[in-house]
Parts: sequence; C-alpha cells; structure tokens
Amino acid sequence: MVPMAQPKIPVDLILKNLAQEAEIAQQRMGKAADVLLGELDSDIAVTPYDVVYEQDRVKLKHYRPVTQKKIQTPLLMIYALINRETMLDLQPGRSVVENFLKEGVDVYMIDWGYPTRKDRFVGIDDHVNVYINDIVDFIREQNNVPKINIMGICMGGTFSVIFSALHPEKVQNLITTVTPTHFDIDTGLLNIWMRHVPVDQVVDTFGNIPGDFLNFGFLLLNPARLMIDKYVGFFENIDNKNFVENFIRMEKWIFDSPDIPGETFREFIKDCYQQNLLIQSKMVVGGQRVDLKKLTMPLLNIYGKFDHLVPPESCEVLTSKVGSKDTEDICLNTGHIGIYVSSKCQKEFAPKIAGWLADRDKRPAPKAKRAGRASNTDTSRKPQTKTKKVAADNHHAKETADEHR
Amino acid sequence: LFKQLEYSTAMAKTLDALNGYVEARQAVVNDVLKQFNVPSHHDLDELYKEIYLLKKRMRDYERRS
Repeated sequence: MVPMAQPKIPVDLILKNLAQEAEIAQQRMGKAADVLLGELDSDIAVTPYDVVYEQDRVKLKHYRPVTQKKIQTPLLMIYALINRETMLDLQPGRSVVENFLKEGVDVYMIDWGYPTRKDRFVGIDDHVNVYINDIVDFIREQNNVPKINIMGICMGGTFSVIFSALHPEKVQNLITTVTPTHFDIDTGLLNIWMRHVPVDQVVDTFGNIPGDFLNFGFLLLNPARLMIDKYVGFFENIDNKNFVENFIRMEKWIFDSPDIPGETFREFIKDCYQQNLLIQSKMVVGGQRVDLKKLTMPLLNIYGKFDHLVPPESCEVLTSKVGSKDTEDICLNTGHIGIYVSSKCQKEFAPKIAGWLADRDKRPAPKAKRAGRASNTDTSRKPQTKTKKVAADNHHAKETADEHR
Repeated sequence: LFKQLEYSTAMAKTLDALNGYVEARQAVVNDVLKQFNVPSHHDLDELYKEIYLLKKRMRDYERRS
C-alpha cells in the first residue's frame, strides 16, 4: 500500500483554527450583545453646577465646591466655540473640572450655547468685549475681588489672550492651554488649509458655519484614523463595557458641534490664520489694538507635543511676546484632547495649574502696568521664561492613540 | 498629499463650487417663498442685522450712562 502524500496545505489545522476563532467570535458577540443591550453609563458633564448668569445664548456655570476653597481668586474657564465645554468634564474620574474642585479651586465655566441664524453677525469683539467682559465683571462683583484667574482652551485661549490684553486690570493670572496665537506655520494642516479657504464666500453663503461642516473638515485632517481605525478599534473592543462607555462618551462630545457665528469665523480666519495679526500685536478688536505687551500678569502656557490641530509651534511663541516677566511654558507629551482626557494628564494637568495658581494666590496682585506703545517688532526686552518639557514615556505616548481628534 | 498646494487649491475650488450650489439652491427657495409671502433668509438676515446693531447701540448707551 502506497502511503498518501502529506497535503501541502494543512487543511485540518486551518479548519481547527477557524472553528476555534468562530467559537471565540460567537462568545464575544454574545458578550457584546449583553454590553450593548444592557444599561450603559455614557452621560457626560455630570459634575453638579448652577447656572449663575445668562446673556443671550451664553450661560455661566458655577461648579459646586467639594472641598474648602484653597485658592481665593476664582477661576473662569473659557472654552472654544468649536464643540462644547463638556469635554472638560467628560466623566467622573476623568474630569478636569472635578480635579480642580478637589484642589479647592472655585470654578466658573462659560457655556457658549448653540448659535442660531440671529447670531451670524456676532463677532470676536462681541465675544470678548461683551460676553467675556460682562461675565468677568459679574464674577468680580459676586466674589468682591478686583481680578480673577482666567484659563482659556484652544480658540477660547485666543479669546482669553485678547481679553487679557484689552482688560489687564481684571486678570490676576492667565493660563492658556493648547492656544493658537502664532498662525503662520507649516506644521499644522489647518494652518495650511485655512490660507486658501474662501472665507468671505463661505460665510456669506452659510451665515453661521455649520458644526457638521466643521466636523467633516476635522475628519479630513486624518481620515484613515478618524473614519476607519477608530471604528475598527470599537469593534475589537465591543465586548468591553468600559471601553464602549468611554467610546460613546467621546462620540457624543465630538458630534455635539454647535455652529460658529459667521462673523466670528470670518474674523478669526482672516485676522489670525490668514494674516497672523495677533502675535504681531496688530490685531484690532472693537477698535482697539491687541497689544500683547499689555499681558503683564503671570502667564502659564500649556500645549501638546503631538497636537495636530494646534501644533506646539503655534503656541510656544506667546510667552516671548508678552509683557509679563512671570511666564512658563509646559509641553506635555500628548495631543490636543489628550491634555484634558488622558489618564496620565489627569494626574498632572489640574494639580499643576492649581499649584501654580496657589503660589501666585499668596502674593499680592501686581499692579497692571500700562505697557507703552511698544513696537511690534520690539524684542529687546525678553521676559524671563521657563520652559518645561515633561518627560516622555512610552505609556503616555501611546495614550495619544486614545484621542479621537 | 494633504500638505501639497495642489490639495489646498483643489479643496478651495470644491468649497467654491459648494458655495455656488448652496447659493443657487437658496435663490430658487427664495423665489418660491416670495410667491407665498414668506420671508426668506435674506429678509431675516436684514432684520437680524438691525436687531444686532440696535442691541450694540443700546449697550454702548448703557455703558456710557
């Protein structure tokens, strides 16, 4: 009898593996059904607060303290007009707001609301010199303090810089986080694309810039990761309840995109992205020139090393342009959103800011000095700056993959 | 690819075309609305602008007083 030759393809082995994988997949699908059909905790922004001030569509949230106040000067957080401020309070245990409250900070936050067609003529001047200014006055009056602390996030940081330069007498300390101030760079895709956007036509056509339109633009910045990888990752972890809950929270935040008032968009793109006026102290808001030398208050500037929306080059120049002698740059090894939501940054970010504020809370407020009409190119008086690059570690770098944008 | 000038230019042209389409569609809608005496976006925008400017003037007066 002639023995049969061994087949070149190990069919038995392949079939066995297939059967095993089918069984595993079936088990996973069973678990996934339990997860998806069960009760999911995907609420965002659950830290208790009171709405203490309202003007037009804008609201001011005041978070209820959880411990004794350790920093006497209240902190106002100013979020961007893109997406919503709920990102700073994404979930319990992963919330910048919650961490500030634990550190004894008195936290206020602006909720810009949802602009409608009637807001299309509202410009940067209205946001800065009306809404922010009135809110700052309200907080000063409520707390009986001459100045407050301001923390700006992304575009909200740019507004904070403009406000602080125009009203330095109302700001004790300024914190800018992932805040673009220098726009003439080639490292960020947004910076490159915005130079060619026919902004007048877009605003005249749409009125307000639709949130979905912006979201689509953000997806185009990294289409493979944001439209494919992210959802592949979701299906790979579909049986993991914790992962699914976090995924839904992030999706809720990302696609909760208010429109942007048309005039504000027009001014921001033209003055900042296309002409880069802010960093040159040439931007004019409400008839007043925004002179960065008037930023004489302590300034903490935090940004992300892997931020593809607001690259470090767009943030780091600010501290060398301001009039303050107390400035600090911190570059964290994360991206645009990771600064606020990654578990590692959660441990560093809020405590660092709270500590920085506490140090300056003990000192008497420096008199806001009226900076002279310094030349825009004057670099003779360099402020003493301290730049701190927080050490990278692999674990942390991997967390950037956590980011959805 | 995304950083190329050609890409940015093509994107700007696409946006331009989209604007053209939205404007043309709006013009048709405006014509139809006019027939039924319904205010169009254009009419409302004029009104919104007036309200906006009036509010601004009022704020200025309040601040001065």
